[in-house]
Amino acid sequence: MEAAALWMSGIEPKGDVAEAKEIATILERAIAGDSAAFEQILRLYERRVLMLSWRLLGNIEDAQDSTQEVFLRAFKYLHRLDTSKPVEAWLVRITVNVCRDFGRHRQRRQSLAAEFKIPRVTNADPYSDLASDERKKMLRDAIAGLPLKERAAFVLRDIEGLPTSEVAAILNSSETTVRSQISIARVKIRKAIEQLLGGQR
Amino acid sequence: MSCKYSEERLARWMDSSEADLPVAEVREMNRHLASCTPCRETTARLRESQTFSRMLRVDAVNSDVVNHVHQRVMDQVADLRRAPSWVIQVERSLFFGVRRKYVLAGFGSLVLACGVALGILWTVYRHVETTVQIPRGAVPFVAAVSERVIVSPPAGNEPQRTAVRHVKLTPKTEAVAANSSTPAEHPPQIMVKLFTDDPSVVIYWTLDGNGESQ
Repeated sequence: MEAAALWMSGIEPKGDVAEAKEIATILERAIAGDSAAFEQILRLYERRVLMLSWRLLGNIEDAQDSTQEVFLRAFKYLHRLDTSKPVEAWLVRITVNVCRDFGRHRQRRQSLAAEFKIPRVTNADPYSDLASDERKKMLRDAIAGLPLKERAAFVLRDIEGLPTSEVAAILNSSETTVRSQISIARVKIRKAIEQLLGGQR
Repeated sequence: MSCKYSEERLARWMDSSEADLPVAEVREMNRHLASCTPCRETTARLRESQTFSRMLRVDAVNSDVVNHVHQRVMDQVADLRRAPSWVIQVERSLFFGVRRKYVLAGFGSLVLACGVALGILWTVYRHVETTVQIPRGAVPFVAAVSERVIVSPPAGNEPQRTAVRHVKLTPKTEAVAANSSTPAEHPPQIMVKLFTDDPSVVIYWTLDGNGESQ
């Protein structure tokens, strides 16, 4: 989990125990009310939270609002954090919950087909063209069109690369349920990519 | 796909290398894929799709966007006031470090369980004792009858237990007692007649003025 967190946050792993102690110290100071320590926490994890929000919500504007809300909640409930556990998992859990709320409020549960407004192209291999930013945007839209639970499971498992057990813990669900949600999401995403590129094979 | 394996099951099998599936299922699926071309093609397309999805991992956000969010958060945090540290300490000790909502839910459940238990106890025991108030002039004594009476059965029959309501007789008021013409020093005796399930068995019980049996 920590390795994945560091990788996703763009932080180079320093090694571990010393770094964990350093983060725990910063957390204790932040809990005691030190705003400079909280700013350090923010600086460590803001990029990661922003990226996760972006993947979950599908657009960077919503992701910015979501990230702000995540850290405000973190600041408000920091005293409830168990500093013996990784803070990353806690922040990821808050991020998923906040994005879920955003999704509910903004009524973004649209069908995959409704999301694709681009002209279809015919190509022998749809995946060969998908590297461009525009294609990535379409993929993000496709992911954003998934139902909330499937989206969260898919993003955490297939994009963030977390093990199924951790995804289940974050989503407060069973591993069996999460596996089912992930496999359904994979099929939908596969169909969406081929559909939007006209690559029905 | 006409195969017995659905695409969702194939999508789940893709995680087999990460121990997401039982070994037996993975083996079975591997055997099937070796002989089923449509399933192999479907799996290949799922893998391509998955590989592409993972390309989003290398996405990066502009540093300006990150700085903008950072500034917004810090501005908001400056306006927020967290509870003083002593309040936090008290809350932590009160709730044993458990989240407040779980503690409140547990407490609520406990209260509910106690209420239900008390209700059951009250329902069971409320018939045990009945107080009958009568004027002192009529029956000016206190008499107590046993809660249960064991009746000796006829020969060859099993013993029977007959529940009898516990009756407590008390004087109604002092005023009634004052107007009573019955002398207190010569209280009359009363006779209690108990009927049992067996019509041939009737118990007579004589009580003196002090409510004691004779």
